[in-house]
Amino acid sequence: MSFGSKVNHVEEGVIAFLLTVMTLVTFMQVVARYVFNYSFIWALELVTFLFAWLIFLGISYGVRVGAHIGVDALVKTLAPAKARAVGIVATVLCMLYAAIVFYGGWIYVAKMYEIGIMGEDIPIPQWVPRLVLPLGYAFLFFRFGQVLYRLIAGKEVHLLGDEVEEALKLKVDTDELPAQGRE
Amino acid sequence: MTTAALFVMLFAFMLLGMPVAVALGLSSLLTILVFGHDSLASLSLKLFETSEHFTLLAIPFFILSGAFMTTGGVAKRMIRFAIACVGHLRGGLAIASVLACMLFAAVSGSSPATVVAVGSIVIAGMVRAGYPKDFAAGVVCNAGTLGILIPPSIVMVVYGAATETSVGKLFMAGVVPGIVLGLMLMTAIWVLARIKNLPRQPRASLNEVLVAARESGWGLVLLVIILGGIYGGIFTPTEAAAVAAVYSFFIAVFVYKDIGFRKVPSVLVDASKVTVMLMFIIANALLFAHVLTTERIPQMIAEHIIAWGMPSWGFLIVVNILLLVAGAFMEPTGIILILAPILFPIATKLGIDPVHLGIIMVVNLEIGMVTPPIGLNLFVTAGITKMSIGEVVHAAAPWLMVLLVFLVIVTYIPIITLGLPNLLF
Repeated sequence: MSFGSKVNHVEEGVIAFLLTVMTLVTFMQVVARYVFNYSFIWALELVTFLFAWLIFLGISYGVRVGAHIGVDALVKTLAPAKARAVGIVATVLCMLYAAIVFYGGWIYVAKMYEIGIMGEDIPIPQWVPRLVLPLGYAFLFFRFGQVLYRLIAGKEVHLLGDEVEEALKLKVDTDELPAQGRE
Repeated sequence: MTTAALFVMLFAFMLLGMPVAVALGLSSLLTILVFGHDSLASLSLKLFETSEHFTLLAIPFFILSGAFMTTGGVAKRMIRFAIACVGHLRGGLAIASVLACMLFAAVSGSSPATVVAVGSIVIAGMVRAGYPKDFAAGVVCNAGTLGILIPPSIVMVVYGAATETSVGKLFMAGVVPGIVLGLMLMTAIWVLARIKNLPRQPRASLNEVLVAARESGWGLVLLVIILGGIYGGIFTPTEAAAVAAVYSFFIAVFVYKDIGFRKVPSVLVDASKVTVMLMFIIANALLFAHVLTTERIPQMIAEHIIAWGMPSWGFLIVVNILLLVAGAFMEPTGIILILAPILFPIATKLGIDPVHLGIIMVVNLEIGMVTPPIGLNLFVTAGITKMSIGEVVHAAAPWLMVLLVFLVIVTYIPIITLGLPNLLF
């Protein structure tokens, strides 16, 4: 397994793990309240942190697997050379976006670090969970950079995901109606 | 000036083929950097705050619950039950397809997924039974839009979060309109089937109905848990979603056995992927909405409209047209987050109920899914039937008329929407 695909595996594992823990903690909270008449005060804050990590670690993964949707109706009508040029412009703008938020997020986390506020219910400094913002956007910048590199090198690459293809995965293999429907 | 810059950049970025989320985020950031006073740090904080929104936290859980339930096996059970119930009517298979879409929508929550899972089985079945192919495709393409109207609906969660309207009330408000639209489509099919002399299925035995009901019942209990749990005050919509996700996992893996234990990780990865895609759009759309509000754009539009003395029915026409156009070009959650802050204050001043406005927006966005150029259901239907987009647009058009009539009814007869939530809450 190459280094690249190992990283991909880790990314998938991390976001799936975050979603699972979020769901289970929220579920346990309901069970604890009704069955044991008890509630974990840290549950909500923990789930919120996990949610932030899921979103902001997930966005760069989303670029790699083509999960982010957009409108490609116009780009599709262009000749390949023009489409490639437009693609390069679009990708550079995406990198600009990632860079701006990375920079803003960095200033923000640095301020939180200086002030040193602690979490409301969880005894860790606030800047720790918020670190995911600059971190995630740095990864996002890197992934858009990869798209740009491939575009310039003339390799086939898509900036946008295909929602239709995604939905069609659900297509049922057998095209038969359930047993009693066929008369 | 600022407003113009904001929207011009948004459209330009989208046309360049940038992801919707980035187009929303970058146009907001650049507008604020050039015209505004907010610091970069506070804008980044806005993006981060999306994750601290308790209502929005329901979204990943509903997506996960849907991911476990959106399987061919569940679709087959719903279809079997639907055929057992209404298959013996004239045009029975088509009527059953609408019912199956309604049932499947209740557990999956996604319109395109409903079209694919139900459509890939029933369209072929209808064609074999002697229905014209475009008739079959048109019915499913439109019935699939019920996914966002019948609860649980992610679009409603987003509207609830954007306007601080009760998600529980919105879910309840979607039930009756969902059933009414289903019945309208079924009636239209029944009438057409008599004219075109379409076939009917043999009447199912009572035993078959009961067996099919029990089989699909496990999935439908989900709706009872969610609506009953929220209504009974047992849990919040967010908690209901988490309970639904755990329940769906249990049913899919241990009762239906549609998903083997080894496939669970891939379902989790898929659900995370969809969550991230949607939350990325939501985070950036919230930033966009923040720019609109700091520029006082909603207030200005509201003052103008009030000053013109526009009556509430006139305003609702404007809402319908605006949403129908927007729905043809953008993804539903993005539209809700951009337009809800603009429309909501006006509606409140004109005395329109926030829940009613929410349902009107959802129905408009449903229609956006079956209108070109980006109506997702059209593309998905083309994908499963191997028809061209043009053919699908043509096939869907007559049923789109039913949706438009329904939109007028929902817009001007608020009791359909508000009756149930007002009765319960």
